Parts: sequence; C-alpha cells; structure tokens
Amino acid sequence: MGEKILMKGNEAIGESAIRAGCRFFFGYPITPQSELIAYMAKKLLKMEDAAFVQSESEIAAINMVYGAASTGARVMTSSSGPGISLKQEGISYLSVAELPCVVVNIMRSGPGLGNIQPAQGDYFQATKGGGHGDYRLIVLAPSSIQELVDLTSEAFDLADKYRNPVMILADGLLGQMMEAVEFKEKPKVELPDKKGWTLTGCEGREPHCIIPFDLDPVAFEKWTNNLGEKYIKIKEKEVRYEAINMEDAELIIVAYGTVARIAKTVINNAKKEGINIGLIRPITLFPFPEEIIASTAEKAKNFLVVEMSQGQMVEDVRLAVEGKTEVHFYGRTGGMIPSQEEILREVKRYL
Amino acid sequence: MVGSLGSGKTEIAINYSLYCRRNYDQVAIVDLDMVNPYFRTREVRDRLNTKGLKVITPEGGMIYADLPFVSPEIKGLMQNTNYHLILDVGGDNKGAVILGYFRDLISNENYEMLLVVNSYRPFTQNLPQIRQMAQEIEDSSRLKITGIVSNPNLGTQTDQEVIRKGHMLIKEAAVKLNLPIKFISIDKRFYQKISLEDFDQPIFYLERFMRLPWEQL
Repeated sequence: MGEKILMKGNEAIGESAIRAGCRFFFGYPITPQSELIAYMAKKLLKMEDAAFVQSESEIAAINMVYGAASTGARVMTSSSGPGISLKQEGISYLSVAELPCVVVNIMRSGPGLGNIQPAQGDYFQATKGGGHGDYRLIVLAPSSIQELVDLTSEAFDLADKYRNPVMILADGLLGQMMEAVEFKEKPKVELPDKKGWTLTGCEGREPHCIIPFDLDPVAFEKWTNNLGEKYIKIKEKEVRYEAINMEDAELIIVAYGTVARIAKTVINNAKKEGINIGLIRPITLFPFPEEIIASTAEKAKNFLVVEMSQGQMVEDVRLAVEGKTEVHFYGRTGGMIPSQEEILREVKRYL
Repeated sequence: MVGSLGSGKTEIAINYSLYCRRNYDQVAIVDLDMVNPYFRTREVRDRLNTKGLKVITPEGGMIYADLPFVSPEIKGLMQNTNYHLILDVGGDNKGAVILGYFRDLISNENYEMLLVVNSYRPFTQNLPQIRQMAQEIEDSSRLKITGIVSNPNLGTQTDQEVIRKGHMLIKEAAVKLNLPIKFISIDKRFYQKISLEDFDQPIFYLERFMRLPWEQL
C-alpha cells in the first residue's frame, strides 16, 4: 500500500495481522483493547475462508485458537489483564503442543479488576510463564503504533518459525492512541513447512496427533527438555533492543513501551542541561536483552529502570547486571503514567 | 459533533465550545463519549472550567469508567434555550445511539449535527465509506446531519499536502451527500503557514488539548 493512514494502536494490530495472513480471530471484549476485536469483526466477517467469533468467554476463545492453530492457520486472540489471566491454561496447552499463535495483551491496571488505565504490571505473567508448567512465550514490546504494525507481522513469523505462541505486550495508551502508520511490503521470509504436523484431514497419509500431555514421565521429560532447547535457541537468535545515546552516558535508563518514549523526551531535555543519559529499550522482553545490559554494566554505569509497575523488569535487569553496578527503580502504578519531570528528578538523584 | 471513532470530534468540540464562549455567556460542552476509554473531554474539565466553559461529564468515580453514563443535568440544559450546548458524541453509530435518547428534546429547527470527517482514518477513506458512516450515524441517532467538518490529518505527520489532498476528498463527499462543509479544522501549528487558495471554506485553527506523556511541555 505505502499510503499513510492514521490508526489507533488496536486497529493497527488488527490490520497488520490480516495483512500477515491471519484469518481467524477469537476473543471477548475488554477495555482498553476492544477496538481490536471490533476491527477484526468488521474486516474478517467480510472475507472468505475467514472466521471471527466473539466467544462466550476468554477461556473459550483461547481454546478456539488451539483448534485453529492445529490446522496450521494463522490465528490471533487478544485481551487485557483479567482476560489474559483467564487464557493462561490455554496458553500453557498451546505452548506444550507447540502451536503457533499470537496473543495480544493491551495492559490495564491491576491486580484484580483494577481499572482501565494503562499499566505494565503483566510483565511477570508474560515473561515468566503465567500459566502452569515449564514454558516460555516470545514476548514483543512495541513503543509506537508503527512498531505495533511491524511487530504484529513479525509475531506471526516468529510463531511459525519456532512453533510457539508469541505475545504482544503493550500498555493501554499504545492501544488507544493514534499515529500515522504505513503498511510496507515485507520481503518474503523462509518459514518451516507445516505439513508434517497439521490436522488437515489424513486421507492417504498417517494421522497426525496434537496433544498437550504425555502420561509417561520418561517421554514427557524428553518432550519438555526439547522445549527447553528451543527456548535456548530463541534466546540466542531473537533478542531485539534499541540502545540510544550510550556513549559517555552518566546513567542508563532501561524502559519499554510507553515509558521508553517518555524517557526519550527526558533524555533530549536533559542534554540541554548538560546531562548525558542513555537508554536501553528492550523490544523483546523474552528473550531479554541481557548481553547489552551486562556489557554496559562492565563500564560501571548507574542504571535506572522505570516501569508502570512496582518493579518487575527491574529484576531481569539486576540479573543481567550481576551486582556489578547499582540498579535503581522508579515506578508508578494504579494506571498512573510517570511524567517527564518525575523521571528527570529520579535521574538527578543518582548522578 | 458526531463522526467515526478517532475522527477528531473531541478536540474540535472543545475548540468550538471555547470559540462559542467568546460570543455567548452561557456555553456548555457535554462529554457524551461512551466509546473511548481515554482521551475524553472530562480529562481537561478543570482547564475548560477556568475558561468559563461549563463542562458536563460523568461525576465522581464514574469519570474514570467505560460505562454508558448520562448526567441528569443534560436534559435540563437542553430545555434551557439560553444555553448554547455542544455535545461531544462517541464514535461511529454506536456512539451516536445516545442521541436517540434525547431525540424528543431536540427540536428540528434548533440544532446542528456536524459530521467530523478525517479521510485518513480506516473507515472513512473514500466516498462509499463516508456515505455509509453518515447513514449509520443518522439511523442510530434519529437525527439528520446538517453539515460536515473537514478534519484531514495524519497527526504529527500532517503537512500541507496531506491537508489539501484529504480535504479534496471530503469536499467531494460533501457534494455527494448534499451537505455543506461548515469549516476545515487545521492544527494551529499551521497558522499563517498554509496557502489559503487551496481552501474555499473557512479555516478553524485547533489548539490540541489531548497530549501524550512524551510530548514536549
């Protein structure tokens, strides 16, 4: 297309998914992601060989995803906070059955019903499992609407490449705000053939079987260890981050999503005051960009992690830093967004 | 003000209310948005109050809710002919449903319903889409649209060519729908920076009230 269009984050995810070949969407509305479901309904219901279902619950939706993914189709579901919690059993099943799919979480404030304002409190849930058992999601954290477009498309490729669920983790502000975006033609990506495992009718061949269990502990240990090896490969190959203004920085901010954008303005304004701050913005939250953080810590910089939570990603930063330098934290919760002034004030405390 | 989700109704309604306030003593803006959870008039209520504008929004804890909530004050103001009332209605036909509830209080001679159109938004990008949007909003509000506000923009990526091209399409739609264009709304950063010969309708310069947390203060 190439033409620019003004889109809400939620709409942009929907359009990008459809352009990536997603023809199946199952979900249940919840603020602040409902425009995504509305967009998919408007578009998919007019398309052939496509299905949209507003399910009776989030649990039903994630199990419909399991079904569609078993046929090899590109499929997506989305929700926020409480709805994502309801989907966790299904996400665990999808992970062990190695079914590719995309799950979108437009984070609102929690715990509990919380409220409908933006937050980043689902970081642990997204990156450390969330459901039961040993598994990992690939977690992508965009910070602009264009990046939502680009990463949604990439999420489907990564899901197919690794036969693994991919989560897009964005806060409510990114879901609701509008920016101009462009849908660029993407170079074709080589992806593994799905024919060897999908359930598409077994006439003339051996039946395939997709199950999320094995009663034999010896066999199931082997199975889960294979998953573990896949996660190591993902860690080696799929880390993405943005690092800016790192040369001679007096302090490094680590932030993702909306907070990273605020940090960028703070960095520009601080420069005018003669203060030099760097930014590491993780784009993949799993795999986490440990190496760049570890190598930066060698130069004994101070770190300041800013999140819209009580401090979740900061634990991964501390693991990567391994005590080599100080890691400070500033967070807002309850749906509050850290302001430019607050972040600059915190920066000055640690210079 | 009615229009598709994200067409610019709230910013235009706020600016238009302030413009009216310069000419009339009793002006109120009503936040009737039941569709959008963020970026609503209620967020800048205090700022508008200091400018002498009455702002009607859900009260108390309801101000933060995403529930259909109608202040009992609205009906009273509608019956008070001294008041100039600007209704900032939620997006699409779903947002306009609430107008049907007030239909009996709105006399046919005494209202204007302006359709805000941004031709760079997903569901109003061409003539058939704009026509469909107008039709659906009229159907659910049980009111007739009386004019169009042309609001062609790509947010921060807007330039003069974007405005000109978008406005041409909206102008064409207005002719097809047999509706007048009341004004073109343009961000005030373009004030005295665009050549006026491109536009034969009045230009209404907008001051943006909804700000993102990373914008320069």
